Amino acid sequence: MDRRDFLRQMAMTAASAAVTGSVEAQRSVVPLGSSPRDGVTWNKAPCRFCGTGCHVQVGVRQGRIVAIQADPQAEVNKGHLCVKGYHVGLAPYGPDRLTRPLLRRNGELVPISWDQALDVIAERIQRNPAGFALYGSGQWTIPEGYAGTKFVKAGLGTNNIEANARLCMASAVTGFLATYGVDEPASCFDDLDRCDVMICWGNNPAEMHPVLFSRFLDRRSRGERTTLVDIGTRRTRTTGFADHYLEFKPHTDTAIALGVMALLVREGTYDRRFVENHCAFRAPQADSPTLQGEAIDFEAWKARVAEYTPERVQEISGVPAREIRRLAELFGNRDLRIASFWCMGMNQHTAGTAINSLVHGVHLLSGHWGREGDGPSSLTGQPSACGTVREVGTLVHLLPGGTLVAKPEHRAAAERRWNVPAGRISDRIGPHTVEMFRRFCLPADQGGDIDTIWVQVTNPGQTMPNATEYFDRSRELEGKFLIVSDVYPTLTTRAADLVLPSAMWVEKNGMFGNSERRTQQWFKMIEPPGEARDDCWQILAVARRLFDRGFETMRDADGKFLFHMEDERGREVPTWDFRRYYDINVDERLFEEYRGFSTTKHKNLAPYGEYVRARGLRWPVVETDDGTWRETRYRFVEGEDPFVPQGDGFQFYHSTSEDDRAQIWFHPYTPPPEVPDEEYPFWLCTGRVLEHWHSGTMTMRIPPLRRAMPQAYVELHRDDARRLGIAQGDLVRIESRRGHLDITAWIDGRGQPPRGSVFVPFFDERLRINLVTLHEYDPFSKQPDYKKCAVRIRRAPRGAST
Amino acid sequence: MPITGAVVLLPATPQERQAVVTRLSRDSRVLLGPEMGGRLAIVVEAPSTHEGQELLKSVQAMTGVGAVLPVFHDFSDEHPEVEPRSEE
Repeated sequence: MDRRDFLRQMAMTAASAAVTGSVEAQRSVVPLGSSPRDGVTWNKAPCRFCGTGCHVQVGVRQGRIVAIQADPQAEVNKGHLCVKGYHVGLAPYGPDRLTRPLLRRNGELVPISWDQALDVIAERIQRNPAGFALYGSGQWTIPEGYAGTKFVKAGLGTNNIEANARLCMASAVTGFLATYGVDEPASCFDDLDRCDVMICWGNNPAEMHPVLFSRFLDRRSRGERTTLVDIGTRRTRTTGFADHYLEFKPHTDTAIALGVMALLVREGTYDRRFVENHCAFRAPQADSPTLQGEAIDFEAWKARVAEYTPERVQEISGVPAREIRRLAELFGNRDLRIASFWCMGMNQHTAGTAINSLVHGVHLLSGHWGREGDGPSSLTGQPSACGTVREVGTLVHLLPGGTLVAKPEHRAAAERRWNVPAGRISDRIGPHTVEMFRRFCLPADQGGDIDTIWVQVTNPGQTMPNATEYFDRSRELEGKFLIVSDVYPTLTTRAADLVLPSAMWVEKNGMFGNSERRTQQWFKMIEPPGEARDDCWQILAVARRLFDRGFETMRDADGKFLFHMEDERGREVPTWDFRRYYDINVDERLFEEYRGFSTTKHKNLAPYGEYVRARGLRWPVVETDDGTWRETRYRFVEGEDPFVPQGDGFQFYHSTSEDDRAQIWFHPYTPPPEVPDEEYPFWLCTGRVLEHWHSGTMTMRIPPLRRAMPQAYVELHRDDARRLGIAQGDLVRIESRRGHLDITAWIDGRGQPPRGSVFVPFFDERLRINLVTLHEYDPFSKQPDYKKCAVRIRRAPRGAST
Repeated sequence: MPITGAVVLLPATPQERQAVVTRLSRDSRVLLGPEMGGRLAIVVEAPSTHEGQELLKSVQAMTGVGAVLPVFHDFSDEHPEVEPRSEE
């Protein structure tokens, strides 16, 4: 058999294993380790892209990735990949990787040494520690995020650390907190294999989470009867598979959820027993509402939701009353299993906390909760938005493990664990993302107290809303300094004062946490190019540089370096020296330290070694009597969740009402902050596409993906186009009160917005739609609303170009 | 020449299912594998990753096809651009 025959056989074995699902077939798929036949070494890793957390096997030969295989042992993707995962092996090989530190001098970025770069950062921090902020992302690995949090909160004594997950899932967090008193989904992806009805609340999983969507579709191919309900503001690929499509006016999803609850109560089809035993009722306070709200009784709650009759909901949302009734009938049928999923549509919303809470409420009220296939789940867009940002706590108000800066006992516990003096962790919550960049864009004498931001693994120059005011403006101000660690040039690196080249994905050790509480691990497989180095090392090296320069708070209570690490023989390892960084497994040391935080909020993690063996484990993970470690599929459910006592059935043990009950909320429908009017008569919605991931930094450098979707576009309705004299492919000017963009028209394209709406994806840095979007945010989650603002459109003026 | 292994989620109706299988069996770039429970294993050998992807997209677009899910991708014979451009 020659090499090609061998590869052909491998490909067929992998496909056959995925088709048959048989253990024998899966075993015959190439095992991890070296294959003597073709010199390829295979190892496991989660995919670099979205929050699904598919596992791939990465084939490396002579220091280069040469093949990617879906991992047949991975429970998430069950041997399948999407088009992005299929190409993930090409992500490190774009032609313009950043390979040297670059410092802006006389307007130009010029190469400098790492030693010089570390000095520049240390000087900026020493000059004004309180004016320094670290801004990362849900692509930080867990150890990277943990190092960043410890560096800022224990080392600098501020809380100025945020992550771009604030822009994508903060409202999901506040929804979970308001409902259950603790973050992250109680259910998991297994629901897709078991539900009778899948409801998509404003998301498009056919493009954004294709592997998860295929788990549901696959059941139809096998002849199972399933129902898909798509609730959206434009027709998408998901709509094409839907049995029922409910098109609503932007922002009015809260009314739909309220309408369903009102009908469940009016018809008496809600689950009285579940509600009486396990739920309490809440509403926002009339004055100064908080995330905790105020307790109300069932009768008061019932009276408030009663006004959302199907007819009123139709008036608000545009969804026919009969469709609201049909949705309520589905929820009123407890013989069905109903799984709700959502993503940015519900989160990037000035009423994001409200709609998240209300959808949980629909499930709780109807008793569609806590059974396999029967519950609500939010999806994330980034590979470790959950594992790093939400669990490690890389946000201004959080400490690791879901503990809070605002709680003195949590600060004290963190100080003990980090062995820093009492009082080191500040009780002042720092500025959230939008506020952080607002202050960065203001002069110091006008409240602009953030003067240095260090950005890692994200691209705010492209993704901040209202980007002129919330990013670009800073570049015109004296005294502002932007540091950016990244793998490729981006709009953010191009605006930076200092650029640091980073290692990516399997060029370093790492751990991610996906949307179903699954913690995953991988080892470094290839070398990063040039002088590119791990983001985690960069944080440790800056901390050490400060330590060496006498910055006292980089010492612990014993005078040791805050990130002091020893080898097996008790000798300190100089991890800040990159030549020695891999002398020990820094990831393992940081993770084991972080793991100690995980028990406070029952997010228990297993030892690092368990994740080396597994394709991820869903927390809480607890040790059983036989010494093995057991993951949890369904939280708060007896028999599944180890913290629910026998006989209780369900127990919401972090209940905000402190009686083990989940909260069913009333939030009234409130209008959006900006609506179309005579001057700006269209809705603008922004989002993603199948081929590209977020700001396109990686996927636009993968030739097949770039060819498949080479540039952004505006989708508009054919009637609007005809009325405005716009033809397919014309250049269109989209203009809001904040900025404008000239972009090519796509009529009857992949997505089909209704009359009066347009859609633009945000992946294309050449076509920055965030010059146009709105910076208004949810009052609780502080997450901005990228999904709707008012714009006007017309053919672009002569001479305009994209 | 890149090699791709994939799974096709076949249409529910027998006629549509047969149409997909027939179309694939006539394509010299495609090797058919086992079919079970509405899922068909295939291996695609196309001159480039791009052409292979276009082929998978055309299958995806066939009536009734639920999805085409790649499972294996060997691109060791394909050399993406490797020369670095100027950095800034």
